[in-house]
Amino acid sequence: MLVSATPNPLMDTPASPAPAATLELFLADIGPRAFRFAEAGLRHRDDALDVVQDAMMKMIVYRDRPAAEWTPLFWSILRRRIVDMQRRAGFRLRWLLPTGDRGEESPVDWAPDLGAGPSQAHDQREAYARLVQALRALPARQREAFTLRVLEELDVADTARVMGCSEGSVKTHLSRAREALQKQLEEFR
Amino acid sequence: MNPAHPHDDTGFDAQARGLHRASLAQVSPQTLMRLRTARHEAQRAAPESARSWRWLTATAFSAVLAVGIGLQFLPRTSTAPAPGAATPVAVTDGETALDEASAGALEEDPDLYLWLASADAQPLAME
Repeated sequence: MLVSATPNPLMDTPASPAPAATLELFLADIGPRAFRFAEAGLRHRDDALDVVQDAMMKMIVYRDRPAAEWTPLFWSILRRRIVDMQRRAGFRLRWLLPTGDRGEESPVDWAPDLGAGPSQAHDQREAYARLVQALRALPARQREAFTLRVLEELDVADTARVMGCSEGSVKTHLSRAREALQKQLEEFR
Repeated sequence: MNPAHPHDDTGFDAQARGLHRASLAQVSPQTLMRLRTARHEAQRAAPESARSWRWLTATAFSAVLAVGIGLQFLPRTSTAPAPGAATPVAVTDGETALDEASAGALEEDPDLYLWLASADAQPLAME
């Protein structure tokens, strides 16, 4: 089983489809989600925070667009920023820091255990770390498709817009991602 | 997640989604602070960029207006021609009329096409 912690009924409710009233509220809501998305793709906390900030700065330009368009727009911007950062990081690793420590991954960002249920929080953290490890092992397109479609619950059309591909490609990437993730996470059991 | 039913993904998806939501609630305070700062910086940068666009638009509009006013003071050659310029205009008109007349004649003269098809025109074309 992927999640060993007790399921929270509130967490099973789908994300609210209603658009945010203001861009400020939208960015406040999507910030942690964007960080988790970037963290899985970039493997470094500071890089992830940098691309999220870049995406927020860029998103301000589109504040006059209808609020319903903000979500796919933001994910599209963030995805491009992550791809740019991955290319730059790859260049650094190949040419500038061949033996440096930039290749090491940051641990998953997690709040310190406070209050009741530290063992449950620990289990959740371990389970999430395994999921992130499995996501990082996927090809980028498969990771994007699974994260956007399953974790962020974008529909197929929006996922295709964000990824800049056809809906059929999204379904193919998602199917392969599920298969690979199930196989990887099964090995952890 | 049930490996025996690889197409039954709802359980796996729901588990991954639940874990993802739990992770959103466990983002560290330092990261949340960085995200808040990033959001505020983005909001602060927005009015500045809007102001710069307004300045650029105002400057461009003023420049267009100045050019328009300047054009009003330029001498208009087409509406008030100088006396010396009348002859060339007349010559030009005459040449145009001549060209049109000759072109019309060429179009209407069937002998021209007969001559072009004859053997006499070929040495001329070889030159």
